[in-house]
Amino acid sequence: MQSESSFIDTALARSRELDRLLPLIAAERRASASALARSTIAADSTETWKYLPIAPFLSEPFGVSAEQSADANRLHPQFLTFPKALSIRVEGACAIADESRFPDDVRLTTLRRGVAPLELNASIDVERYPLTHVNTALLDDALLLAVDPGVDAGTIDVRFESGADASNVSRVRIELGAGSRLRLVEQHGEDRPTNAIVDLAIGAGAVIEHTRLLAASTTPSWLLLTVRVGRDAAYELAGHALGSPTRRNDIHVRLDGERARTHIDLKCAAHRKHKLDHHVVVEHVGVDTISRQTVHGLATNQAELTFDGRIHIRPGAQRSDARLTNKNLLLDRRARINAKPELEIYANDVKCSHGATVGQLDPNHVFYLRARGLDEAAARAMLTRAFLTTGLSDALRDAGVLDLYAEFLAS
Amino acid sequence: MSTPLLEIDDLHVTVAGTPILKGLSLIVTAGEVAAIMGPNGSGKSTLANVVAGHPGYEVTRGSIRYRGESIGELAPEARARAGIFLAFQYPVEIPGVSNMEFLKAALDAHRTSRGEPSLSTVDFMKRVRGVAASLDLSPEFLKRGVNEGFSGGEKKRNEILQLLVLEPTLAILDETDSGLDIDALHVVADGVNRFRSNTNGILLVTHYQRLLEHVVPDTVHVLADGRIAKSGDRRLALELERKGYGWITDAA
Repeated sequence: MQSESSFIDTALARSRELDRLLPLIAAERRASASALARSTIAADSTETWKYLPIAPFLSEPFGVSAEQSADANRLHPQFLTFPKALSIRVEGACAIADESRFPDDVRLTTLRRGVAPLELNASIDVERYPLTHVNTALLDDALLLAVDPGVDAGTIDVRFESGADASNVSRVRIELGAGSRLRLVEQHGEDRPTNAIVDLAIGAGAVIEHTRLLAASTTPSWLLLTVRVGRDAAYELAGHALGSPTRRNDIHVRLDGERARTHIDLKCAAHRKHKLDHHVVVEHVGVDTISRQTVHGLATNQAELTFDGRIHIRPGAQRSDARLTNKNLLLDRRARINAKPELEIYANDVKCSHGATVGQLDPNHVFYLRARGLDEAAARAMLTRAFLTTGLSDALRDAGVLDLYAEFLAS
Repeated sequence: MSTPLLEIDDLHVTVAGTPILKGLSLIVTAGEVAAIMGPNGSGKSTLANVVAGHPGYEVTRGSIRYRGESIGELAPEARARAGIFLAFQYPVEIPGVSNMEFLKAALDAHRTSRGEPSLSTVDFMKRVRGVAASLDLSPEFLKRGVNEGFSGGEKKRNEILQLLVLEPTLAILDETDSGLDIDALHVVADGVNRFRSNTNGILLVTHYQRLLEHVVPDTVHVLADGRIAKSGDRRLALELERKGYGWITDAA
């Protein structure tokens, strides 16, 4: 760990070096570097980073090679296997895939291979997500994936692992052409300080079913997921986040096109002294757009779990239909849950609802299981796991996600 | 005479400080089907829950003995493993745990406490599927979350499924007939009659006489104001059907 100012000095030096190595996004890199140089990110972020402070994310040695000795104690990443999935490994900025297995209409490339000039942050609300500057200033490559119109790309499994650097700065951008389809699996097993952005653009009538698994990590991790959903397109997210001492997940879904829809189903569980933050913004821009959010949170021991969910209806987004449900299970009096559902509505013909609850296990449920012979501990464990695994897809169940939960709950 | 299966003596029970049972005494012997009838609020469900060990009920006086041993201090799971089964009036929904998984965990807990090995998944499935079919429950039903989105009738049939799979010795059926249409009532009654044997006992808690047409009781007890106000045989149930409960509760 270093101070914010020495972090920024290191970052700026690295950023200048990257200007030589990878001039393609130099303009954006310089803009982000100047934002970092102004050094007001921490001071400007006190409200949005109220529960989990931003400081740990501005103090890690990004862009420095990892020491070999530090690797000895690293967690071995646990990835689930999905049948027939095409897999891509992302180690820091470096993406590795067996490209011969990818069909022609699923285009895989990287920034370094010199694609046409592109604006990396065009679809990112950089003001809202200032750590994007760290990502942009220090990025030395990015994975770019495009699915041609009308193509069913099957399942693509993107696995994030620790790279050669002491920290991971990663960027993945996926674009779906009109009427195409993708089952996206995103698994994070990095055990390095992480700053990763996944940016999805879903063309008209296209569909992404996104499964996201965040296993335990011992280091600070910031993940930003931004999604733009086009006309008649759909974005479905099933996200699972377990453990990690310091993790913040920002999710921004923008329903741009008319009749765009999204279903976000998040399960978040924190134990020990961990802090786990989820900040979700669903923005309704097009008319007749639909969003559903179901978020289940669990905190035990001395963990602090935060869910901040905002539904934002833009002017003109008439007949938007938005619902948000946040249920939390607080299993220890020393644990803490911050639930902050918010509505911001600038159109007059809309249907919106939101609600959050915090509670304990229902004693009638515990009694039902005990009356069938399960002892109290087993009954509570079964109910706790059930809380986190309701609505689990068969694919995820078959891939063995229950084992991850069993391990998490036992540790 | 052999030891009674269940022996309740002068039982006083309070719920959140309010006295509900006020000196209830009752004996159920092996092979007996005892019906407990009574108006709403007389304490029928309290009796069912307190025998199963619900922690929300406080026994302030009296005793409950099962096969001659006092069970007042036993945890609900210990009572269950000893062979006491409560079919719930309102079975709870537990999304996220499949029926099959729940039943396997319950059966494993029973077998382990008896020193028997767990059934293999294949043997277990075979056994459960057979019982489920006899209760008109499809195999698909077993994969669903425990009682999740089940109709009232399906929930009650699921209770009977658990009864037949876990093979207890004493079954307490708490208003198992409520909310059942006539077809479901037949299915449930058939299940209960299959459980009935010379060694098993049944405490059948009900408000109406209609289940008793299909599961014929040996004894009928009327519960009023926390005590057994009247006992008799099945003719008492028919009399109650004609006359209502007023003539007994007024006397009590």
